[in-house]
Amino acid sequence: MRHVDPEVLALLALGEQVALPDDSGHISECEQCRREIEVLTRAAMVGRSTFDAGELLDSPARVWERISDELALSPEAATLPGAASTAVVVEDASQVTGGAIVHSLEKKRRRPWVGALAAAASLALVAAAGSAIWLTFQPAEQPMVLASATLDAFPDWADSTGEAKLEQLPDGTRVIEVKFDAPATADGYREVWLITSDASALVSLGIVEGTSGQFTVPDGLDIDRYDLVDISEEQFDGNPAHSGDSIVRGQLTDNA
Amino acid sequence: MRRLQEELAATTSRREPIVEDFDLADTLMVADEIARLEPDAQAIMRLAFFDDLTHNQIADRLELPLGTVKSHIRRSLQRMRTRLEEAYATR
Repeated sequence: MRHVDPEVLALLALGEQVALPDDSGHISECEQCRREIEVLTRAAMVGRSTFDAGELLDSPARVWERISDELALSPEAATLPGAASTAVVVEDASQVTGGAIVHSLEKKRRRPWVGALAAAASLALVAAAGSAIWLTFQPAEQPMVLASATLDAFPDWADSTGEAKLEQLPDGTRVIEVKFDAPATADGYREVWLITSDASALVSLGIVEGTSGQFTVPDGLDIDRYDLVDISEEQFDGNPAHSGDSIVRGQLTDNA
Repeated sequence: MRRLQEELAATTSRREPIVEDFDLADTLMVADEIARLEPDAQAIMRLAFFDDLTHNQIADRLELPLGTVKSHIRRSLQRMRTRLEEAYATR
């Protein structure tokens, strides 16, 4: 079944009598073509309704001054750039139509106009509230996540999991944040390390109590070399070296 | 203008009366879409909507090929329709 030419459908939607007998026959049977005419007709009707909608103009500053006066807004809120660029409808019926003809529409028109004014007013309110909240809770600078790692369990610690993040604090300090989950042990403690990827060198970041902690990365440490985060089980044996009993370990990868 | 308005009133009443009270937001949106049309398309849609000319009359008036007028009408109406549908989808 061949559908009616889309251009013909569009013309039909405008009310032109352009359907050939074949088209009319098809349309009476084709739900899809009828639906198409229907939505295009609606678009055309809305299109025709723009005739007396007036032009979209940027509102003069005094309109916003009056709105903000009325709402007793602070001067900063009144000059928000967002508010200034918001367009409102300016209706001038006498200019568009040349006078008396559309008096009956006046009543109808008032309603949307009031709506638009209310909308503009609530926009201004929201903007004001927003700026107030912004000033009150200006967010502290957030640490920037430079890299992260998933920490995988060693065979002796099969069910353990963990993750690590390398962050840069607003003052430039680099920190490693670890979070892990491992079975508790009767004695001993856990230590966090940075290890080079060939395991030839390592630096202790410190002891972690519980299952999470934050550690400062020594200034000058080349994190590109020391890119393995390791958490080990240590004994109170007086030996400060890595015990060799790693629980989890993972490689930091840059956050794109 | 007055003549035009009378003509419009006469031609619209010939069709089914426009009973629907359009949402102001829809009207503004479509007005904006019309304003974004390229100059030819915009002139064509204004003649079609407001002067209620047929596509033949529009082609004569603007001295454009009939096919051009028809395809502008189709594409412009589709754009308005899409704009309306997008607006309803996100409301």
